[in-house]
Amino acid sequence: MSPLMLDSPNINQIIDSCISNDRNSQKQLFDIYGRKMLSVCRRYAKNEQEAEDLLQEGFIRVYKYLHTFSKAGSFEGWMRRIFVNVALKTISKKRYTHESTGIQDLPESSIDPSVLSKMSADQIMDMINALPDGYRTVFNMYVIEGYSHKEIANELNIEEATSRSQLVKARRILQDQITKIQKIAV
Amino acid sequence: MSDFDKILREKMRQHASDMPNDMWSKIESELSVEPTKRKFGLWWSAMAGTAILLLIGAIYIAIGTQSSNGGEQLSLSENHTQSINDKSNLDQSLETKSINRENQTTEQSKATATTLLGSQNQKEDSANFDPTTSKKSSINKISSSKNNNPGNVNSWDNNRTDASQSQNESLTQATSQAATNFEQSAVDISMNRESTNFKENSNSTEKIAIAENDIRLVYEEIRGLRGAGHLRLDYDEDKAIFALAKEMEGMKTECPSFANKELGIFVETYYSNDFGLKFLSENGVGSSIDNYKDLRSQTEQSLYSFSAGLRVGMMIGNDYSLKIGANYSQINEKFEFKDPDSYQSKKIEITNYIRDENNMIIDSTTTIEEIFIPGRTQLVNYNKFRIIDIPILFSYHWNTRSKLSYSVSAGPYINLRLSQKGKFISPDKIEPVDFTSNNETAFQAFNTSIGTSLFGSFSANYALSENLSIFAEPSLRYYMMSFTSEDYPLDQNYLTLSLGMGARVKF
Repeated sequence: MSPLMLDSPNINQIIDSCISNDRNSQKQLFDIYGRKMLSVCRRYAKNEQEAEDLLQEGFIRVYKYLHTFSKAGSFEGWMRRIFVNVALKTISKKRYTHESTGIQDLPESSIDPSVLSKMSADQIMDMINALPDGYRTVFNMYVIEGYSHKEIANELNIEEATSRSQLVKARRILQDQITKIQKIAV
Repeated sequence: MSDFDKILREKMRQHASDMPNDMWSKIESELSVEPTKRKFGLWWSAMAGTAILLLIGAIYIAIGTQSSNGGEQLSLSENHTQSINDKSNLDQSLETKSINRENQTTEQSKATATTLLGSQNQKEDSANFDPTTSKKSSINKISSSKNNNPGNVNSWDNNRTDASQSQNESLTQATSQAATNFEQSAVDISMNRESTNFKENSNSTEKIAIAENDIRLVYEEIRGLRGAGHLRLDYDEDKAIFALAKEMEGMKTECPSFANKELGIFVETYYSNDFGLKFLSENGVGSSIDNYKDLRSQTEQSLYSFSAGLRVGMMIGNDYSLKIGANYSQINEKFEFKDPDSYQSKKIEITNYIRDENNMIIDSTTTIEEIFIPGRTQLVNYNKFRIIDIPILFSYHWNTRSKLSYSVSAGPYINLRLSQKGKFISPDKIEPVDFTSNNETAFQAFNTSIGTSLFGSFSANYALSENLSIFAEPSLRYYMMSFTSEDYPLDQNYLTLSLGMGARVKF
């Protein structure tokens, strides 16, 4: 089923049926959101196998707590939050190291946004997945999911300064790679 | 947000990966074993079901108790037996029986008859009965036959000749043996049972009471004599006397005047010291559950709590009772939050003075700045959870011959109201927030009702008087429903251990 159906009003009916433990509706929900959620999992997982495990656990939690969804906000956002939480639970806190402050003052190299626009999502995905674990997690949470540094610090049990520094380093690596692509393109 | 971030976010949020073929089957197989979360309504259904079952059980036991009393069998021997097999037979039998007691001399002239009372004066005679003055005891015959014809005589024939004519050899032998052994000091107890319709007798209630006393007296006498080695009775005969006494017990339930004794009402009040064990578990979504749960566990500590209440009980038979009442419980906790990296902000006024060559102030500028003073925050707060319930308890009582008795009770507590006062760490800001009920600015995390909790107790009772007793009652109570609402990320359940003391008054 096409992900374009995400905002379909029928989604509420599907949710209600899922709450009633209707297996067909649960499959329907999986078909609608499964591929997108797998992308979320892949961005946090170390490898494909871990991503699939996260997806499986995430959907179990979604079905389990579906009755708590208020239907007031975005269902996809609610689901994404669950998958991110599931992913974060599996990430070892040892991956993070405390960094010194002041890195946020590092200058960012200028990137032409049009270069990024021309890149495919798979290319960007590969670049993000190539980041070190700690950098990747903070980058995903801050840039893609929209967490604040304080929230990231709370979720990962790290200092806010560490979160900032991880983000800056992640950005620099990505920008370096994009700059290379930009030069090649020119 | 920079353009770089916007483009990245947009592309990544729309990105979809290829799904492995067997992924749904994996999820489906796990779903088939995943337990579903119970909803609030189900607890109420379970609670209502439990209450109905308790009620049905109580009624069943009450009816069963009465039936068993009515169905008590008298068994003398194969040829000399009265069996009251069912309630209708008993009813009919009761209508045709009375027990009278009168002085009577046996053919051996050693016996003193002390039975057959039909009036108050005769009752007094019975009360003055002195076994030491009696010469001989013989149970000649205990016979009561079922007869559908009211007014027909069912006799306890005290005539020894009749006894010898009886086909009951064992009873006769026992009687003879008893007579032989008791030539000098035994008591002659004879009972004659005449047929008199209770309904026709305006003093039937009184007669039943008198008869009951007589039977008890006879039974105790015989048991006492036998215990002293003066009298030997065969098993059937002893059993028959006991059964007859039991029959009289059964007669009580047939008489409305005894109803209050069988279904006795009592009231008990209690106070208990409780200790609440708190269980936090993840419930919802949208938060880093593990870290937050740990933080709450670290900052909150259980303190000694208490419960108090009043219960009204109704005896069902001799061993069971049903209790209902009102209970107030308060769970106390200590919240202590320490933040070593906190700071205090202060606004200070900075004035710069401009001086001339002679160091004289010629001008000044004033600015206000906010400064942050690093320090350590320590907040201590005592939290209270107040709970009002209706207990519905089913109890079983062990009555002993001493003043001590024991009972076990179990049943649901149906919650009427939960309110709370205090502080805890908020799940979103990770800082202390107030969660007090009825405070609009407080963090809304708790339910106003917590459904059903399960209670179980053992109590030791000591009778101070016939109607007043005190008891000690250790108990357990498990709160099945979470105190927190569904949109709060943690479930908060309690198990309370209690030691209660109370008093019980019977009416």
